[in-house]
Amino acid sequence: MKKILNKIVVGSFLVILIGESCNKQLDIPSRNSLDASLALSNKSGIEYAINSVYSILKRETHYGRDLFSVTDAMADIAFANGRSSRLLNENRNTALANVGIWGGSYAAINEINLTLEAIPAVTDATTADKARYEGELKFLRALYYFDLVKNYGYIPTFVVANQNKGGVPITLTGFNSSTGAANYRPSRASLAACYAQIMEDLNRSIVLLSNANKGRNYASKHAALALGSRVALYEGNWQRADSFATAAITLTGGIGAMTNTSNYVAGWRAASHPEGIFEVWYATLGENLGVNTSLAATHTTLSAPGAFNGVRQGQGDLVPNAFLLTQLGISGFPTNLAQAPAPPALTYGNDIRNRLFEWGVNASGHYVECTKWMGKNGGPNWDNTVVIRWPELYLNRAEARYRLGDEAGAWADLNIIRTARIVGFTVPTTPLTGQALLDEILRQRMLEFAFEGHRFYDLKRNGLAIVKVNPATNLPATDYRILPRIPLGDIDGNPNMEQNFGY
Amino acid sequence: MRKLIALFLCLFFAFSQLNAQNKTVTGKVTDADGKPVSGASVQVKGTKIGVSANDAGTFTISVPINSNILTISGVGLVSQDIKIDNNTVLNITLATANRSLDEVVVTGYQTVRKKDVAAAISKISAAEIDNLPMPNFAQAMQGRAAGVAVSAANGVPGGSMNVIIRGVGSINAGNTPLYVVDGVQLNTGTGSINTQNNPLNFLNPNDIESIEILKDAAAASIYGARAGNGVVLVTTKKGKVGKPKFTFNSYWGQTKALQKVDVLSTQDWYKLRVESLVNSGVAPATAAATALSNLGLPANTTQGKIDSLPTYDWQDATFGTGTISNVEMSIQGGAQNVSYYISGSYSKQTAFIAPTDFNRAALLSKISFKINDKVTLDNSLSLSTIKQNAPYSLGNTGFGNPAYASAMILPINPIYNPDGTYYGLPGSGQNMVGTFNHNVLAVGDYAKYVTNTSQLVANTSLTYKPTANLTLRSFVALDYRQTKDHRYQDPRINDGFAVSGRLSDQADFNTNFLTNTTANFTKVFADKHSVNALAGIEYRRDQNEWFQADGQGFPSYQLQYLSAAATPSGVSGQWTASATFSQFGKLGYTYDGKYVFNYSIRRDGSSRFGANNKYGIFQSVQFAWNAKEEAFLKNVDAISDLKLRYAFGQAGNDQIGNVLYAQLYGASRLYGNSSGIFPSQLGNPDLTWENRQENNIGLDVSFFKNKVSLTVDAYRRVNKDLLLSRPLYSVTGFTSIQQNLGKMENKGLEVLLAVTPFEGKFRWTSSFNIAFQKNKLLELYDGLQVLPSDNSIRVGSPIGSFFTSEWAGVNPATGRGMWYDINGNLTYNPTANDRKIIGNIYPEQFGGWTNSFSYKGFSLEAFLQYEYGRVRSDGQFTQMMRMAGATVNTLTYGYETRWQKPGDIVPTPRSFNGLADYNSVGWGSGSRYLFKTDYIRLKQVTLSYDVPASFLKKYSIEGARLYVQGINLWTYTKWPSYDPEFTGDNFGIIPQSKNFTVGVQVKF
Repeated sequence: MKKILNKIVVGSFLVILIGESCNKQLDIPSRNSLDASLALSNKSGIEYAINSVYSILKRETHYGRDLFSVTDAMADIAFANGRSSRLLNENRNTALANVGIWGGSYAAINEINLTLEAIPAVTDATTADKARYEGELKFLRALYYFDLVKNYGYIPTFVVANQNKGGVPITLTGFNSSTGAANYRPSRASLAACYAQIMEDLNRSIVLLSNANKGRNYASKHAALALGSRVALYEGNWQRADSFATAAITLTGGIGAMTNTSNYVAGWRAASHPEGIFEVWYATLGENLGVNTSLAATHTTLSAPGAFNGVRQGQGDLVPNAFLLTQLGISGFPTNLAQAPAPPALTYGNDIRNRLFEWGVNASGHYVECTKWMGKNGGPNWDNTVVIRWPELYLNRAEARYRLGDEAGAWADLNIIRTARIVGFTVPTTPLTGQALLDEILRQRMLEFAFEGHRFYDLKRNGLAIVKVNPATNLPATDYRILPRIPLGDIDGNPNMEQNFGY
Repeated sequence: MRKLIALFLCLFFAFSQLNAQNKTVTGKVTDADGKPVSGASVQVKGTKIGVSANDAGTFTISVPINSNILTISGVGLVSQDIKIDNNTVLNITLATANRSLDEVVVTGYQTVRKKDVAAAISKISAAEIDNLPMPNFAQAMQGRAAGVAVSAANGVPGGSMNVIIRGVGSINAGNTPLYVVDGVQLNTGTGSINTQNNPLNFLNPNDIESIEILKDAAAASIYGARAGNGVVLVTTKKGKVGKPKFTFNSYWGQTKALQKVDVLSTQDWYKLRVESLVNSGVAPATAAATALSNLGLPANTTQGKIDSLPTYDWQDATFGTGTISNVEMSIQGGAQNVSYYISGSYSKQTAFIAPTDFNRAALLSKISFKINDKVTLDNSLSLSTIKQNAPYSLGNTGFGNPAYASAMILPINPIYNPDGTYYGLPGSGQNMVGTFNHNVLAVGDYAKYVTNTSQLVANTSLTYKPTANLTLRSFVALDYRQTKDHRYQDPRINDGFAVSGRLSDQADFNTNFLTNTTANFTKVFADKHSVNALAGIEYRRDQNEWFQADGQGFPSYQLQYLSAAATPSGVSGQWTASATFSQFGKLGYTYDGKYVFNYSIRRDGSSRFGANNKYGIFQSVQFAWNAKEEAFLKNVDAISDLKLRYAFGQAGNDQIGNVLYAQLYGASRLYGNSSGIFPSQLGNPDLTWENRQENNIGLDVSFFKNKVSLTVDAYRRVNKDLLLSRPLYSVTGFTSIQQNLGKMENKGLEVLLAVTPFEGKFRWTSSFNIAFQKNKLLELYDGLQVLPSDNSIRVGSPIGSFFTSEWAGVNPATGRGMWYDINGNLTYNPTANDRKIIGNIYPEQFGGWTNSFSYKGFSLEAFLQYEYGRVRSDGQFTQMMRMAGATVNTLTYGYETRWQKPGDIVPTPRSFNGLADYNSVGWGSGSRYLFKTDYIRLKQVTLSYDVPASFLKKYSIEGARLYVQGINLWTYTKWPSYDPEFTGDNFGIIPQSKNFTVGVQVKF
């Protein structure tokens, strides 16, 4: 009995002792996440942090889909057929059906700001490394701010003055405390301030980055020049748009080159587009956005070119409308676009770009679909996203030169594109001039970048109405629905923020 | 086992024989009805000498010559002291105990007499939940405890249950109560990503002796920081001293859909499709061509051909019949220093939508060994393994989800080919037309979504009683659960075809270790001062770890494991843990059985909270007055019991993630084959418990020898320092931070009324309970009246409200849907400013009503359960009301009630291709698809027959019962789609079902 009692007493003591040492055991740090104070303290931390900023571009809300497909659904070249009920409201320009890049973009910008602040204290990186880090981050910050301001604000070349609420809030220092974040009340900067900030960052990148840096999947001097020409075009700074485009075109040791009528289609079948200057890279199969919302799934049902009798691969929700097909020189499709089996042969004109449009699989009928994305990286729904391609340099410059009054220069650039795209193209002896010249530049832009997220902004910045036959639409550029609503969560309780007009 | 017991008995008698100075007394113990009291305890007063009566109620005891009094006691009977004098044969009749006085209640770390309880505790006994064909006990609690709202997420057997005690107290933290089974605090995280798996499934509900629910903060307070949502204490059966008793129990049955919904025929759908296209501005000829192409038909299809098109009933094919079977066997018994209860069971249920099922093998082994008079070793081991076949997708809008898709697949699609194979498989050349292009039967058949759960819940305790008044106890427990998910998308089904099959395997490990040491002192001083004191320390650590690997590209559908995958497509894994260290104490004092005072205190330290606020203290005070014990009531026969209670208590809620106080960089991103790290959360070193404070007053009264008894509790519960994800302006790069902000109130009234109108040969008992509940957000932060990130969270309104614009019906002139703007005017385009609070996802009133009738060997039990005042969005109905605005089938209801011409006064707008009419919000906007879920349901009817003992005796059988049971036989509701009993938004869930079982129970 005594023995048992003793054992119990000893046992209880042990338990209490273990219990006391539990106080230390109450400190259980995460093993899946890094302590913030250590994360950016060395070279690899900075490099991984930069990767994260790139990775946000891959999201569905950004270049994963929306910046291409949502904006093209809103523009005048596409028809949402409702196969999976996606993009219908965007296609009808319903209020609130617009891009939603606000939160993701600012998360990326905050990461950029925090990382930029951490770079100087890193001891195991060389000066060259640090210059590259800063250059890449500033290119990315410029891109995120540009995407924000071109959507949430008017584009400076066409501002509806009485509806203009300015640009977007600019933050250039990172948030790293709860109190700082909780007390912050953002307010919108002017459009001019936003574009100035974007150009400032791009100019730094141009200085800091090498011509090709790490290729088209990363920021480079070439990409910064090319983006700069687009930013300047949107801003209406024609001189700069011209000079940046020229600098990008003439840059030696840059990235990619124009394709021509013989290798244009092959270029689109390659995992990495040879014309790409900046591309968002989906390096592994697991990064694809899946069967519903990847670019491939959104735009085509085909698993391979010509396989319209094969297995349905994607949803094929957003297809070219009759207007675009006709402009591309395609005929033989029905007016309502949907064709019960079996689809008749289509007739194709000389524009090589129309070869990327063909009959899809029968899913509530066959539709002519765009095949720019069809799992080129080696698996379904797995495609890289080209953000900036070579032809844009010529088209940016053509438009800028037209605006500068250099119609001959514009005409020359326009014909570089047409020569590269139209089989047997010969330059007409009588050059186009005036409005006709501009119209043709914009038309080539539409044909060149169909389903690449340009058309909506080309209309918006030129003050052109969105006119569609089906769904019947005539949306003037002054309509409030052109601008998205700023998320209510950033307006509520914040006297400094102004909502966009009409919301 | 019998041999072992025989051995013990021999030893026992051997010792008895050594005591020469003894006399032998025999006798029989009967109850008031003259039935023998099997297992009655017969003890020589003032000694440890005692025996149990056998099944005939007879006993033989050897009494020391100098002892003269025997204490006879039995379960539920009044103990009696009998003088032996010179008698050698004693026949004793024990009176039925006054139930409410002598009943004991488990209250957490101890058991107390019911009359000493001053807080709000509900008890459910084994008899109430016996043999219910339900895989877990939470389901069985539904409607049986006032104020405990239990709702099944859906009809998946063994699926998740939502248990909310006295309303929700939190905006962002969890609302799950703490479950304690035989002292083991369970981990209630779920490990499966496949299916609904419920951490309470490990226990066969038939092994439960009682369930006590600590409802108010005072009762729960002893569990401190984990008790903020109430505590459910489960006590399993244990062995009683006596010869081994075997119980065999088995039931079998079927389960069926409660209802199907009526959808359109191919012809009606075609007609409606054309109409919707024309309404949206398409020329009639083009509309017809489009509608035909939607059906996969050429534009020149004739009307005659259309009229002869077939209609296939996909619901009919999907909604089959499920089966239920359950077999269990238990043995229990014991001798003087050992007792045991061992139970094994196998249970299988298949849902009416294949391949959903639930298979459980469970073993519960409890052994108690008295090392000597003062030291007892208890060991309990519960082992279970559960296999669940899950549907390919569940509770979502997946095209392969049979519960979601079957009513919406276009009816022109055949289900099978003439040769019996599935129609429309990818690669077959056959295409299913319409948005829903997966053959859901093939998907159910071919896709293998399987979850295996293996769980061990074990505890060992050593109890040392140095004196009769003091009990010291050390307790060690482990709750270990491994969940394995296997998700194989067969290459023959749509989602697997293009990639030649896809597989994801996941394993999840939960380790929950608990140890505590308690000292419990009880003593009655001077006959009137009853003292009960408890002190203890406790340590608990919970750890979860999981990993997942995915691959694709299988050479054949017969190869279903990762080694056969051509391409690995993803891996991931995580680890997380939390620990708490606690000290607690309780002091109970009762004066003369009349005045009860209890005080409890607990100090908890938790790894979950910030450095500045790691520790918290929770206290309670409780008072009760047993008025019946007062002289002026003692002789009032009409009142058999009267007690008033008041309690105040504090409890904490710690149900947030594990390292939310820390400022962290996450590492889950990827770019260019390389990791991406990013600031994943802003820290908050002040983060701490959510604090619940509650006042409860209660009344227990019974009349006419307990024929009528009433328990009423009223409470006001305030949760302060809510664990809130405070929204940030996303311009900061973050969406929220965790802070302790805001205050919420729950007020309620709970009534339990039990009556026994008839007693005797024909017995009728009836028990009714109802709870009234009101929730209100009292304050947010910074004087905000509305939470910026979620406008439905508003000061003065209840949590769980819908905040949206109100549906105003169909404009008879245009056929378009209309909504009210904020001024009550009609609009086609309600804006954010037009939203208002409409309804709430939590019920205002709920409860149950049981009636039991017994006559001779027959008994009938009918149990009604009801809920009132809850509103839910009917996602399934919304999707089924697309009215051919998309290529999905639609409800006949919508077709028949749609607007067709000016002047039609109907509930359903005109059909419109693309679903949103011109310059109008979508078809499901605002409150259009919010409906009341109010229902009254005949949850359970059981008819049973006990075979007469006289008949069974011949076969040495102690008891046999035959029973038939029906579940969900009748429901009163106005809910428009399958069933109102669910949580969430009702997208593609497996609805509740109707079950019939027959069973037999034999004791020998």
